[in-house]
Amino acid sequence: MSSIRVGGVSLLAAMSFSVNAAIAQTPTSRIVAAANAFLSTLDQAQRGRVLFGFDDDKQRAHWSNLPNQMVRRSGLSLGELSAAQRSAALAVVSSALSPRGFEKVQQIVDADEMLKTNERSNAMFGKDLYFISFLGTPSDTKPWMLQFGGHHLAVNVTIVGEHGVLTPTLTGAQPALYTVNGKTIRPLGAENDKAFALLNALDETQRKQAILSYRVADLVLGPGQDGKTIQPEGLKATSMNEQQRAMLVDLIFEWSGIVHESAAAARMAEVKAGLNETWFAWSGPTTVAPGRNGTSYYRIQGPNLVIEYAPQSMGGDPSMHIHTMYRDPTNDYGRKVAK
Amino acid sequence: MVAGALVLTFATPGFAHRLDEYLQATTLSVSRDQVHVQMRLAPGVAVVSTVLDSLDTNANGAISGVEQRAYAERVLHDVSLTVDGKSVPLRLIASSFASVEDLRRGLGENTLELAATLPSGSGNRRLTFTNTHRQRIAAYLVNALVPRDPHIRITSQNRDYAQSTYEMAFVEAAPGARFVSLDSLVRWGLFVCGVIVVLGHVLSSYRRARRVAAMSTAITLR
Repeated sequence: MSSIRVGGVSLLAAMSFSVNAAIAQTPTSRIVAAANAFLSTLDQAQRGRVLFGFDDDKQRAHWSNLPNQMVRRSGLSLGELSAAQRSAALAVVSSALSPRGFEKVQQIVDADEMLKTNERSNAMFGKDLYFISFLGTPSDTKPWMLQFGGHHLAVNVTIVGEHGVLTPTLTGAQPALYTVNGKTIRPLGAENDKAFALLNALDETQRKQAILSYRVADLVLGPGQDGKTIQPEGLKATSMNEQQRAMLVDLIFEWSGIVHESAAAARMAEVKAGLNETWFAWSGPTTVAPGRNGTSYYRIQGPNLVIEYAPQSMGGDPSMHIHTMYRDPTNDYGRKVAK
Repeated sequence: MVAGALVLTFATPGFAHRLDEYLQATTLSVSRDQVHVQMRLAPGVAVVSTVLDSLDTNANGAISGVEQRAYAERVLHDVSLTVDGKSVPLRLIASSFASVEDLRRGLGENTLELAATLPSGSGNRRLTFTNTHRQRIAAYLVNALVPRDPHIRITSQNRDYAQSTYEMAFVEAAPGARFVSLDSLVRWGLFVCGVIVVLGHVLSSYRRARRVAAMSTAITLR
């Protein structure tokens, strides 16, 4: 009886401790704990490959939409990790992102696995060819950076104390629509659907301003284009009504909400503060079949924001091959907070 | 889809690549005395052989300095810049060329940096940039960078569908003057309103005090 009581008390104490610990843990400390847990699974040689100096600007900017065989990534690939190490690596990525953000990342990776099967190209595509790396040492206070990427994916999260900066980040998908166990998956489906919903909510005068009269064949500020700010075009958010502005904010959240919740909330506050100076521009067809991706390019640009959505017409169906870019020209790589 | 990809290690950040088009992405930067033009030229793997014909002209598998200059001259011949309706010559100030091997794999990107002297002027101005280089296979992108020069403000941009022709209207402030941003205007407006409110408050307090003093004097005299 007493042993049950003692056991119960111990259990309660343990539960209380873990609850308090959870309450005390900040998003950054959770990411740091996950990163250190991953590092502890690695041998010395592996640690040497995954860790870079925080001042390593070459590695910082070394990301791409292209497959690893074309642009060789550094860091450790999932394919060369044991099951436990791979699980720990993905736990780091998961800890830095929101549940929906991590799901999006997984769906992009799954699409590449699908491409590997469809293209019968084991060496070029697939889950094994996604790389993780850290710039700097994971820390609650000092700046460091998590990179996770491969074909159609470059997640760059700069962490400085409680700041979590997701820009620049590239997402893409090919195929951009596939089925798993009968369920249709569109990794970037919401980015398409919400943009079309916004376009359809505009009146004729607004559409004339938003729709560009020329073709935009590709990302303007894709990989390798750090530090550029182009002249904004299209429809300014000040010319939108409150409902349309809310739709624009919701569309932006598809990118800003990839990072974990508190960082996303801080980011959305910045986005909303600059909303009056934010523009929405569209190029291409204005209709889409329900449940499908369109083939139109669009760009959202504000004082601290650039989003581009660019279907790729590379000899195939552009709606099945999408590249997107998410930037903050004032704070890419967290330069504003990582001084 | 990425086609024709072979094993390759790439030293610089990767970029999106067309397959069957020749991407020509141009950015223009206007300052008070100069127009800077950067052209990134990236032939897709399916059209690269036609580009290499005029790039590696002796087909020895390398692009010599002479071939680079000749190709840059060819591009310069195919682009034009006018300011306020007058032709302005562009000159090559720098270039970088990928290896033939990278280009053949559909990965290489050549970059030309061009510049032109901006004819002096002020007020409403107009710039036109035209690119007809390899028009049949080209996918053009043209964009202006937000001017860093506070004397320059872009007011409108127009392009044809293919982005082969680009027009920019801009305003150049007169010498000694500069544009004031809307933010600054709002901040100054708020400051001035604040000063007026404070002065009004001080003035009404002063008048009230004088009235009270006068009334006190009157009561005392009675």
